[in-house]
Amino acid sequence: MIRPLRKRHRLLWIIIAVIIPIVFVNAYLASEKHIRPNNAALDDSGNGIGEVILSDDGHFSYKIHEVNEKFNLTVVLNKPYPSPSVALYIGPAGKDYNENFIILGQLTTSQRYQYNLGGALENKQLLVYDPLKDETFVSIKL
Amino acid sequence: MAHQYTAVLWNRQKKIYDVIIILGILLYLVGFIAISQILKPEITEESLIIRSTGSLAVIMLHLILAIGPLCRLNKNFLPLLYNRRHLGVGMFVIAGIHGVFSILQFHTLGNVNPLISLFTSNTNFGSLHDFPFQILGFFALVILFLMAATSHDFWLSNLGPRFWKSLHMMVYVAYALIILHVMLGIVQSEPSTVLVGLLGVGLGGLITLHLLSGFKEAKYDKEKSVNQSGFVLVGEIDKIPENSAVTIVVNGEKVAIYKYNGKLSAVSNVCKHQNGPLGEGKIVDGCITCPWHGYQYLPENGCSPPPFDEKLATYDLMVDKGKVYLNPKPFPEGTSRPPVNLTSD
Repeated sequence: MIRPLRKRHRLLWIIIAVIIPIVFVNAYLASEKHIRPNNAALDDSGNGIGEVILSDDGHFSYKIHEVNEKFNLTVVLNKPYPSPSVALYIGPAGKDYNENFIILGQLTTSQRYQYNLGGALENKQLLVYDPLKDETFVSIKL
Repeated sequence: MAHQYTAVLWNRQKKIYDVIIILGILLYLVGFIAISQILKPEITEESLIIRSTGSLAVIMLHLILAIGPLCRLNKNFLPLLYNRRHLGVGMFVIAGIHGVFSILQFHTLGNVNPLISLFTSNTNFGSLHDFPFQILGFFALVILFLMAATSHDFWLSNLGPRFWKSLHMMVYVAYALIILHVMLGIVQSEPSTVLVGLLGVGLGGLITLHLLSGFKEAKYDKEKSVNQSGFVLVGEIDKIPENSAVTIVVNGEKVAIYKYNGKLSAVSNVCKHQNGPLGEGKIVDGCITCPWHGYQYLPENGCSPPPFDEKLATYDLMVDKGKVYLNPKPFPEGTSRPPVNLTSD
């Protein structure tokens, strides 16, 4: 290395030596203090239109965000459903599952799912539904 | 060297180096998967891939970043430096697998574009505990990709040494992003004092190595003063090992003074390839050989042997009463200067 590069390396590592350990220790201390509720993985910072809500059957938490007049749904599945064919659907409110429902996606393993719900939510509902067993687990009026 | 780009100079050492890299990677992955199956039989295949490749990439990055300062502190580590570039590209491939599987696992199950999901599924930028750590890993991977893609000498030549080196020094930014990505990932997904401790040891060790070598070099970077005859004292002849060099700083940069076959020659310490420290190399087959990538120069005139065309500045030396003196005024690159003959001194 040439001398200016050696100087630059020294300076960079002095900066890394100061900043990264501070963030590192603070992150660890934050984790020590933090007790995570089941729905903590959802954004509850207040920039969405709704609150973080636990589903009636306790399997998942969800929140609806509004971005540019369109709605996004974030689901955190805490407890998987017993059947792998269980999926999330959106369709007309007050109805059982029928051909007018649109599948948003499967709910399989415990993790975060994100869905685009479109621009209008009036008179719609979400269904957690198993088409193989024809069983509805949860219905959520939007 | 730079005569053409078509042939990579593969030699036995490089092949051994690459075999060791591949075997090491396979051994780690197999070991990780085997131990995980015993300790956590419920773990999914996707999680196994994500965790094994993620942890391996972090270990490889620490090794890569430790090689430089280790070599500056102790020459015995120089063989590790010789093919570090392949280690870096290997690390990027492993990190890339980790990144792709993470996006598949966490961001492709909904109906939102996975990249949009990556940036919008967690917006807790104000919380250290819930900070979207995956985004940090994404940007680190982008930097590693740019480095891996431009690692060939073709890009060094076409982008220019200054831009290329600046781009590749972004590895330190990538390292900082990766440390935070891993730390916050551990904190959010599976808090473990052991994992945090191991990461802390790696971070602390690397910082210590770089600061130690940095301050050691700062000591040697001090300019030598010129005496009345216009020469600079280098030191005693006996302190220069045979077929090796000592270095001194004149005019803001190091000069390497080599002893070989009863002769002394002085050339710029800076290799034309990637600014490697020629003074830490050796005389191999009559040529000064850079410890970083094996570029070679004739000690008498600083020229690479044909067909290569790299040239170094040369310097005049004189010996008086067992001490070596250097004229700090450089000759134009490739100028032939008669070596000091020690046998007639």
